[in-house]
Amino acid sequence: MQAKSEQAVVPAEANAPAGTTGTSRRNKGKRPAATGKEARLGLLLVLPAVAVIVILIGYPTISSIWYSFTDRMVGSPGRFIGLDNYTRLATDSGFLSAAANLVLIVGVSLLLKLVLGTVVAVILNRPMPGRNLWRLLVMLPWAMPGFVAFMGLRLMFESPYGAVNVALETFTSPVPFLSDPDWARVSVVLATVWRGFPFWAISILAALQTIPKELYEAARMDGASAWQQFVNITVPQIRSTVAVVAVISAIWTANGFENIWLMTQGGPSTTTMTFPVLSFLSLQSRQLGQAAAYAVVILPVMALFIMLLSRRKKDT
Amino acid sequence: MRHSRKIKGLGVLAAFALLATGCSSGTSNTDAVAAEGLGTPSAEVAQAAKDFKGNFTYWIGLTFPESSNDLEAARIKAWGDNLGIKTEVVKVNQNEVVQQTSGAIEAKSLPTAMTVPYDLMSTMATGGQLSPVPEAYAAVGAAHEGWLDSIDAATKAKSFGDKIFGVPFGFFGNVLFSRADLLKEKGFDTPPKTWDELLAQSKAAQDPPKTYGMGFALSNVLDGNLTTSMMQSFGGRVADDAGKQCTIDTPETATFLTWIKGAFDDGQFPPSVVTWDGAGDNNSFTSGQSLFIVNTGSVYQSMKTDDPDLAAASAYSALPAGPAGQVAPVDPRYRVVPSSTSDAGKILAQDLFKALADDTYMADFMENATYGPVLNSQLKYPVFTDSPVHAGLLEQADKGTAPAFPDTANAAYSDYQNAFSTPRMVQRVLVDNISIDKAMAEAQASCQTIYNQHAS
Repeated sequence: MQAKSEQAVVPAEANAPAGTTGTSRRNKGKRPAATGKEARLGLLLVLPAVAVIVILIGYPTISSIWYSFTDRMVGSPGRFIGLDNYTRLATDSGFLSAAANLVLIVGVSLLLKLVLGTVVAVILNRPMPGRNLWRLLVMLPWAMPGFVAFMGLRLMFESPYGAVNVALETFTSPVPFLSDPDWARVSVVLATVWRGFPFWAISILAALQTIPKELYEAARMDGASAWQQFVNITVPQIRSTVAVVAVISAIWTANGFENIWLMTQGGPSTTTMTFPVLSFLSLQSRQLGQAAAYAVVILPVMALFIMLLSRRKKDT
Repeated sequence: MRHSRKIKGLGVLAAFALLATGCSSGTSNTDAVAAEGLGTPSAEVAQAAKDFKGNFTYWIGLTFPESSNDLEAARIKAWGDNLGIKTEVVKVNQNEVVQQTSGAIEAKSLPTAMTVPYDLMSTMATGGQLSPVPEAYAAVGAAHEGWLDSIDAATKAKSFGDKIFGVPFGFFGNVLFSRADLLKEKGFDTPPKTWDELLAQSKAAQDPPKTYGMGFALSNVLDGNLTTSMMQSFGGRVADDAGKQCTIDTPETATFLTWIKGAFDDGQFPPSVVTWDGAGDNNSFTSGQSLFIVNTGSVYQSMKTDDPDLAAASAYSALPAGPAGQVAPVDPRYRVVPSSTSDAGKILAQDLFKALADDTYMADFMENATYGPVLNSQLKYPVFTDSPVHAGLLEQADKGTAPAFPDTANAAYSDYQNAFSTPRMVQRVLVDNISIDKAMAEAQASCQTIYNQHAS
């Protein structure tokens, strides 16, 4: 299709006046400019996509940003209050916890998912009986509905009669997995990792399968150990995939709601609080402006992740 | 082999036949109650039925057990069939009714009529999202020996500005569930009358980590709002009488926080109360982990069938009093009509409210669903003498306190409660170990933010 349109503009360029050839040379490698008719047709063709983006993404995003500068409540238009919603955040203990958890929960989860995902992917990449079945089973935590996964995990972590505590009862007294501030963070991270690592494993597995076997054969002939093969062949070959998966996973984890709400509701107190939960709590009391501020304040971080993702995609 | 197949086949057929018989007999019984008393509609209602366009959508608040919801849905369908209009019943989880309604308000997609808790009626009425229903309120009251005084007072609260925005059909009230069998072993023959008595009984009878005394949710869930009633019974207040200025930061609130911190640090609460979900307290009682819980009655309904021994071994009483008195709020549930409903829909909705107040239907509905009475005719329903929890609700109808009492019931108070503000303040003291003064100052500030938004 593209080749056809490029062919179509060649005669026009060939017949161009002498004075314009300099411009053509300067534009070497660039797509030739479309004629007025083609440009209009092009615009017409992209119009539905642009409309969808504006309606589904542009309008809600701009509305949210605007609401965050108002005292809007459900059913009332509200009025402009400048930065009041944001200045209030600075003294909100929930906000400070959410900011800390953005780094802690997202950071630690990513690290653990990377390690677990890579190990599982490497294992699943080896020949073994029933390999396809294992691959299917690994996907289950990611494939099942979040509500089921996190409610199940909540029940398992309950103290004193949750499955985990029952399993541990010969070794220790009941562990307050969800009610102790430190353990609550650990439990939420473990649950998040359990649900999210299959995405990493499958993505890394796909990357592993693209590495030419000859590279490993050559390395083995040169006497490279398994570890050296992993560090010098596998890691460089999967690095780009890992980077893309990391950015996507970071966005999902930072925006995760059900993992926190179903397990701890952001508690105890504000220990596992996150921005989506804070936003939800504001919506509970119908404060749309405040809820929007909690959602908008995380946008720069998300924008950073998205920029990293775009750059990585361009590199690959 | 062939015989075995035949026998299996006959067995399957018999099972289907039994299922079909069971289903049909249950359905016909429900249908009979659902259609009870639906006579010829008035000329105005018949005309409204002709003029009404589309489906008549009704949101019911889910209650326990499911058979009660099915009965209500069947009644609404029978009413619609009688008028020749199509009805659509949407069952809404009562824990999510605020979010769902907020979404519908913003999307301008509220149903034709709906059931709401008192606080949501208050916020919707303040926001101009409800249509007054004085005729239906008066007609239902007149047809059923009048409204109970406490319900009438709540419905005509000053904050509604002399308008009646809903027709009550029952109320939720908190009942103290206690393990009478275990407490008796320690010499406690009657349920505690005050929070201090409850604490003393808890200390004497609990056996952690097997059993804890106080199974009260202190987490970010609706059950956690029991702490607001506790705070009020200690003399604390959310706001002033005008319902404008928050008054949380007071010595009375400090006394309450000191009391609850003492009990928590002393190990009277199961440690997980600070992150319990909406069912945490219920599960802790039915599993034998807690000696005391506060519940609207659904736990009794489930124990009746699942664990009748535990139901019999438990006592059901009014909420304990604090130093400033007893705060046991009656939380009426209302049938309301959004202002977005068409004129014909408004007439039909009010007719439906009258049909749903029918005593034969309501006696059957309340037999299972745990609502307290709101009409004098309901006081005679057998369930209010047969069931200990319903008997407790009957007592609360007489002695319970008005919604939000001693505070002023208004939209700001509702939003304060919906934000779980008191349990969050309590958690700051118990979990984060910040000073009581700091926790009160924080709660006061967040409360005032909510109240200011309603003032503007």
